[in-house]
Amino acid sequence: MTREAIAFVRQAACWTAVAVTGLLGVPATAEAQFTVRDFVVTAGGSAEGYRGNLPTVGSPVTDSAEVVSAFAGELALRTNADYRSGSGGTFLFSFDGGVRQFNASGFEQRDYSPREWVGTLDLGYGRALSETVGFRAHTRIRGRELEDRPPMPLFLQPGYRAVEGSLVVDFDGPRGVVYDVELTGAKTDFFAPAFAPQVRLLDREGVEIEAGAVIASGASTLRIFAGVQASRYPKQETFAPEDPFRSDRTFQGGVSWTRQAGYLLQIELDARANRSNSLRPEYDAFTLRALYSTSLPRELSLSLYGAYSVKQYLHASEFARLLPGEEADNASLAYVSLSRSLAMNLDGTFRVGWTRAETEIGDAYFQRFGGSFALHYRPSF
Amino acid sequence: MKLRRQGRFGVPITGTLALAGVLLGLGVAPAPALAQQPSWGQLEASFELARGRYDNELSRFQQASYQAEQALLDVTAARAAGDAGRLEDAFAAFHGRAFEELTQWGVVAREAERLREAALALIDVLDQREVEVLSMLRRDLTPQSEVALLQDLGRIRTRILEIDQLLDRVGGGFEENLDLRPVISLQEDPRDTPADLRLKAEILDEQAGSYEAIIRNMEVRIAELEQRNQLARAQRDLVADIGRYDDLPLGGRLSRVPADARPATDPADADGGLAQLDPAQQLEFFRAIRDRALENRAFVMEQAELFRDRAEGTPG
Repeated sequence: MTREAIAFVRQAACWTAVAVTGLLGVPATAEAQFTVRDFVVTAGGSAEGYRGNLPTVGSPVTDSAEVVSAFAGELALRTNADYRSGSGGTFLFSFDGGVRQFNASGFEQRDYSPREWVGTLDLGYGRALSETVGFRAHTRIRGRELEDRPPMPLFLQPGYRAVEGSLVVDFDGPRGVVYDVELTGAKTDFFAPAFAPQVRLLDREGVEIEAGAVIASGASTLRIFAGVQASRYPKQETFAPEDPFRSDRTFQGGVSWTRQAGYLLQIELDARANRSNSLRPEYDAFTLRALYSTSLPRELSLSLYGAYSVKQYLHASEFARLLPGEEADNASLAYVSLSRSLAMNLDGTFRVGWTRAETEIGDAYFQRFGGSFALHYRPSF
Repeated sequence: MKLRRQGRFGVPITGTLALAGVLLGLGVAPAPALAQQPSWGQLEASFELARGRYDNELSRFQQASYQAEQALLDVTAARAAGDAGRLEDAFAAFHGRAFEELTQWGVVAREAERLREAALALIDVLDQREVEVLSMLRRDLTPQSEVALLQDLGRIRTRILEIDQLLDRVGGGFEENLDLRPVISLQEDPRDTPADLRLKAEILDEQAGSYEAIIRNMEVRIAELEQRNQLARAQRDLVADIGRYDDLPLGGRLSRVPADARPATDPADADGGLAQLDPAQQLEFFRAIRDRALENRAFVMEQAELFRDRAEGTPG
């Protein structure tokens, strides 16, 4: 781990401890209630293949292999809880963290054993301001560290730390429509090893405002949304003295539809237009996402997740387009997951998946495919 | 080649982050203090809110109860008319109404429990305030102050009395209130003929059938809810597992992931008390109703058997 990563993990651990201590330490009152909504320990393994020997920023070495494979083992913990105080507010806490160890093979130079550490801490507070107006404040701290990063085609995102804060106001409108406005600020700093300082080019910060309208009817919910995001990349130069660093504006809008009946279905279509003071990263894109779960015989649950993205850069360029954190934004993928209860509090999940996504360098797509098996243990409290 | 476009905009990122943090902090910081010592006003507001909910659900129950009684009258009328088809329809309607009535009683019982908690918390504060006022009255006071304190004392004691009376009406907690749900209990009369006893046994059999319908209905609802919970769990696991390591399309913002699927409430319950419960509470609620219906069915079946035995052993 880099020194920055270690410091960040320490900070995150402190925040987690403060949050947990705060929540557990709050005394119960007449209507106060602390509820653990979910607590899941996940252990699993997967076999994956990667194709596409493309350039990437984070890896200092290259390898001529076009296809490589990897076995990975994972251990993770996820929980979310809330505390309803006697004064009517609700505190939200969630944590999701884990470690994934790869054993990769197929490279020409040597075999790699990359290891990912990830953790996300969410803290929130919400309360009703009146019968028709609600308010929420939310912060998120996310960290990621990667050891022994391999060259392409095994693409793994570099380590980073991200901080995000958001404020949301929602209010009931006429005819049962609920409107919401969300203001979000986010900052991401990447961990750059000494031999790859260029990773810091991916650092970015931004602010976004989004407005939405939710229409619920029976078991269905429709949300229409639109927003604009302003991003700044303080390490990416434009080579223009009067406006030296890259800054983008992303306009987006879309619609999502959710139905919860004997099955669960979410479909979302969103379109994005990215404009910049540098022409290279300007693009238009849309993504169609769908998430579907249903029950099958023998107590099996089937879940499907699919996303199809189309992205068009507006200007041809001989220079690399650096797109931190957006490679997944423009991915197409498909996952099929089968799960069932194996014992009390223990679910087993078999999953196969395929992904086509950009590396941090735009307009270059790699592919990942594989299968995994995971156990999800939910202890009783 | 033109590599850049003129124009620049400020990004108040630090301000937004700081504002969110400060507001979150404001929410977090005073809340434990508030939670430790909720003010009299807050507890009054909580109590009135709980009382409003309770009254509302009680009113729904009374309406459901009236409709169940009307449905039972239809059964009696159909039986008297000797119309088998009409009787079957009337029975089906009665079972539905009886189910709604019992379900709504469960909602009332839950609201009663919440009202009781709010009332007890308020009484605690009122008791403390009463002690404080009495203590102040022991000091040397001006006549005006003494009158004001005595008026305060009177208001506090009146309020405590009102709440006590309400508590007597509301009863105990959820389980206790469920116990209070009336079960048809027919008494044996020394003047009963064997025909009377057999009729009573038949009425109890019908009541047992009604409970059977409730049990079946609850078991269907429990199974549906467990299935929905299982689906929601599977979906949450999928999204969490592939999002954890940044393998998921995140949307325009780093943190965006598809919302957790929450098990739906029955649309029929959307404006009822059940909509206020989360899936785990709904499950607990349905199980409690089913268990109570099982007990009630066993009770009326035992009574019916008793009447039948008596009918066979009683000279006609």
